[in-house]
Order: sequence, then structure tokens, then C-alpha cells
Amino acid sequence: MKSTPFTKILVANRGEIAVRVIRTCREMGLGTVAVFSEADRGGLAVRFADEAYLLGPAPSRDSYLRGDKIIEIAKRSGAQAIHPGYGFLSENAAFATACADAGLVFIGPPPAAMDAMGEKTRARDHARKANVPVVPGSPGPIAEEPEAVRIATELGFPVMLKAAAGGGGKGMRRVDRLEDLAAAWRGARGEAKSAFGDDRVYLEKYLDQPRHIEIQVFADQAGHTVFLGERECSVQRRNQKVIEETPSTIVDPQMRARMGEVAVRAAQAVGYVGAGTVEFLVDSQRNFYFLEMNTRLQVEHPITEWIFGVDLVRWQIEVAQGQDLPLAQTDLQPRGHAIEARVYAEDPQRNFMPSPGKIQTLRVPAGPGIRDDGGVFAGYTVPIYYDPMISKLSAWAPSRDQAIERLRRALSEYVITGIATNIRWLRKVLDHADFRSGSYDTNFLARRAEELRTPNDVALEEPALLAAVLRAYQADRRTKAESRSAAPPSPIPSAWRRFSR
Amino acid sequence: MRFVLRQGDRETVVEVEREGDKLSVALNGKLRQIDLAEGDQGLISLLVDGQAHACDFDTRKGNQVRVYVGQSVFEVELETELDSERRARRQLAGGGSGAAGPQVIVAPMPGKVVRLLVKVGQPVKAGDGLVVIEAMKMENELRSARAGTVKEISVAEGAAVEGGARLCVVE
Repeated sequence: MKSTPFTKILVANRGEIAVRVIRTCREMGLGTVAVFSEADRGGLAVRFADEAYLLGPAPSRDSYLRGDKIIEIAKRSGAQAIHPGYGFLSENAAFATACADAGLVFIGPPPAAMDAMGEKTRARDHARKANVPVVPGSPGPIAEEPEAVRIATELGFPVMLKAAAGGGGKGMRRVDRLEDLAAAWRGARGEAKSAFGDDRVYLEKYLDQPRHIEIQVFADQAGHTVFLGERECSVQRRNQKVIEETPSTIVDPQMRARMGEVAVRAAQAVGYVGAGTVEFLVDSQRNFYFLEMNTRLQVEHPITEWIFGVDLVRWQIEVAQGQDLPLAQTDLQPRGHAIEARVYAEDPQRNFMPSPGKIQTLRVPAGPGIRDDGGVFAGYTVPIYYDPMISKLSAWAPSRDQAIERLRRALSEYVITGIATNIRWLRKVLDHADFRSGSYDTNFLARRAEELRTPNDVALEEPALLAAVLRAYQADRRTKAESRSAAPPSPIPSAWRRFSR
Repeated sequence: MRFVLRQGDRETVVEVEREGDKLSVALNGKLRQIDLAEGDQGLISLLVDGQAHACDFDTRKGNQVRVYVGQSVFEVELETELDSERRARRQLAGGGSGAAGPQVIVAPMPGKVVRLLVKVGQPVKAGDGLVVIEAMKMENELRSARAGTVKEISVAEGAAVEGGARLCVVE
């Protein structure tokens, strides 16, 4: 395959992922172009990039979703390629097509592959055709309620109603009994309509105690496709991942090989190129079923990078330039264990209410085996317009136990003041017996919500009060010292004055 | 030097004394010798009988301070005894306002007003929803803490508001 090296890349994203991508570009000697909304002028990505251009007002639709403006800026700045990060335009086939039409390389899969995997029922169809097991369910979107009743009865309750265009838990309803189906049918369609502008829904069998495990795949333009192990993502709150680890405690080498083989087959079936993730649901008997394919870099990609010792963003750029994958399947040997915790600007004490605002103090953990992918700094105001994730903290260690201890240690070093964060709660999750034993499923956080409450450590109250008082005392002394020095000079010259003569 | 420390309803007087480099604090009937060092970004490192604590602070409105130590967060109100006495005298002179005054609903965070659930003059019960604020793609309903009548609505639907902004008044 012909290789055309890039010299400059535009990063069409914000926050930590924009910083993450720019870092690799720097290491590769590539020029970087950031784009930003009015709310992100002060962001880290703008500082790290060589060039930065304003997209528009804060709301995403006026800024990070303005594909036309992004393409225009790429052309004007002389970038050859656009890295979309995750979210925003990363899975938008029309944007990828528009890039190609403008003579720009979209760093991601071909639009046809995105289309094939973009809509859930179509993706299930492709998976089935490639002999990839899918969760039993309706063959496609369901037109009328009586049909939903018929299929749900056939599948047996409980069932899941899901939006065909869905994602992020929207337009999703668990239905336990036939009597509840009518209300769930209306609710799911209404929610799907408002979230995606598409009210088509389909049915799936509800899996008991499901785990969410995904396989990282990577393909180059020459048709080589590999997989890089799994990521266990069952620690979720309201269908949002919170803690991810690799390897999974329930995946043994045989199961890993089978899941990997299936994931590679799913990718090849749609002519996949670049980084992709095949998500599976795994039931309590360790049967796995295709859920969906994410046609982009995942948020939690660092844990895969840890155990394989690779830089997936570098791979994305190399593959987009037409180079072959740097490693073959047999060369990909994982080492040790990695865990990631997502630090959110939200308050677990107040039902996880978002907590935007200005960060007063920021102390980021460091030390052996620790990586912090952040996009914030002291003095930065977490804007109200975007996702409340402020950083991803990950740890690597030779064993799972050591990785847990290391991540706990690092979380205890993390200090963010000025806004509320979920840091203390994350430690509590890592400490929970279910997490320690590795026997958890996607219901873990909901089931254990009470036990995961995070009261203050009462033993620290006295030191806190002492510190507050002494701080006020020091401030008072400083004020008095200042007013003394502002007073007329004393007639006796100081020793310094004598010496400086 | 003496300070008045408030946590909720609790009020404590704390005394700090300095002898050369040595600081001692009398708190809750205990006298503590403390070694103090100041760090970056306002950090205070304490050694209390050899136990090390690193504390960060976040100054809230007025005399409120939030102390971060070992992943716990404590909120206290703190002023010098002198200031506290002056304030008490002023309040006495001004008559002071009763505890059953109007309830001012403020935005708990910066965000957008998505819906007003009440109108001026409307009676509300404790727990009734008043205003819905959206921040970071999440909607949060603000409720009335007690029964009363809506006296004022200070914002319009669709308005962007800062944290602490006045939204409505229930009396």
C-alpha cells in the first residue's frame, strides 16, 4: 500500500482526548491544529497545539459538530488529515465522506464501514451474516405494538426495548411483564425520538447478570486485522462506564481467542480500517453476544495501551497514512494488568449532580505505573456545555491486586478543589468486595449503591479544623505585617540597609 | 489569638498561641502542638504529634472555608473573635431578620433555565418543583423547602445563569 506521510493534523475535538491526540502528534513530529468553541478558548488543547482556530459558540451544534467549518479550517491551515477523537463527529459517515470529497484524510474507518455498523439493527444484521452471535431478538425495527407483543412473548420476559439509532442508554427500557410492554413501548419511542430524531425501536432478550466486555480491533488498508485483547467495562452507572480493566477476570485464553476471532470477523465483514471496538454482552454462563461496534477510538483505550505497550493513536495515524500495522497478531503479547477510573465533575453526595465551575487547586497523581489523561488545570473552569469527565486515571502493575492498590494510591494523591468530584467514591468502588473478587456485572453499582456511600473520614475532622484555624491565623499575621511595613520607616536602619551601602 | 468556628449549629472558640516557631492550638479542650509549613496553591502541611496531614482549601462566600484533607471535605465558618463580636453588635443594632423570612431559591451551579414550573402568586407545598436547571446535559429540578406562595420569579425560560444566581422567591 502506498504511503503518504502527513505533516499536519487537525484535531476535531476538545478536552482530554484532544490533548491525548496532540501529544502523539508531537511525538511523531507532526504539526497540530486545534479547533475550539467560545467556551474552550482557555482549554489545554489550545495551548498544546501549534495552531488553533475558533469554531463558534459553545453549544456543540454550533462548534464541534460544524463539519463544514472544520473542513474549511483544515484546508486553510494546510492539514492533510482530521482526527475526530471520540463523540462529536467521530462516528458520522457523512462527515467522513465530506472530508474525502475535500481531499482530506479522515482518521477512522471508511464511511461505508461506519454506515454498516452505525445503526444498531443494521449492525446486528451484518454480525449475523458474518456468523457472529447476537443477543436473540427481533430481526429489525418493529413497526407496530402488536408485533412487539408477539416477539416479546416468543423471546420470553424479561426483554429489552432499544432504540435502533441508540447509544448511551437513551431510548432503552427493560420490560419484565407483558402488562408493562405498552407503557415501555411508548416511553422508549418517545425518548428515542427526542434523543436521536428517530423513534424506531427493536427488541432483545434481557440477559441476566450481564457483563459488558469489549474487544479492541485494528485493521490496516492492506487488509490485516488484529485484536488487542478485551476490556471489562461492567462497572457502569446509568449505562455510563466508570471503571474499566484488562484483562477481564472471567475471560480465559480460550474465550479470549474465540471473542477475538469473532470480533475480527465482524470487522472484516464490513471492510473495517483503523481502530474499532466490538462490544459484547456476556451472560452468567460466559456465552457472549455481539452488542455493537464503536467505529472510533474508545475513551478507555489507555488500558489496552498499557498491557500491550503500544500507542493506538500512533497506529491510527500510521494506518491512515497507508502504512501496514506495525505488529502481527502473534507479536501482540499482553503483560500485567491495567485499570482506568474516570474522574467526573459530579457530586456523589448529591445524587451525582454535575458540578461545573472553577478548579481552584489541582494536584495530579504521579509515581510508578500511573497515567493521567486530563484536559484541565488549576484555574480552569469546567464548562456547563459538555460531558463532565475531567480526567482518566489509569494504573498498570504486574498483577490485578497490585494494579488495584496502585490506582487506590494514586486516587488518594489526587486533589481537586473548587468543584465536587467522584474521586472518593471511585476509591470506595475499588475497595468493594465485589470489585476485589472480580465477580461483578453491569448491575454492580446500582445494587451496591447504599454500600458505596462516601461519608467523610471523621478522624480527619480535627486536623481539618486545626488547618482552617491556622490558615486564618497566618493570614491575619500577614495582614498585620503588611500594615506595619506600610508604616513610616523606623529611625534605626536595618542590618540589610547597612550592608547595602 | 482567638477564633470562632462554626459547623452547622455548633460553635466553638479556638485559641492559637505562638512562641517563636512553635504554634499551639486549644481546640475542644485539647491543646495541640503543631508544626506548620505552607506549600503551593495555598496548601498547608501540618505535623500533629508526628502525624502528617496535607490540607487544601477552597474559600466560599464570606467566612466559609472548605477544607480538603485525605479525600474528605469539611465545611466550616471561621472568623476572629473580634469580628464575631462586632458582627453580633451590628446585628443587634439592626434588629436582625426572623428565621421564617422569604425563601430565596438560587442556582446550585451554572446552567440554563429549561422550565419554570410555577407562576408568581401560585401557592406551593414543601417539596413542590419550582425551576428546572440544565447543566452538562443533565436536568435538575429545584424544589421548595417549605410551603408558601411564589412571590417573585427572577429569570426567564432559556436564560443562562451563574451558580448562586437568584431564581425565584417563595414566602
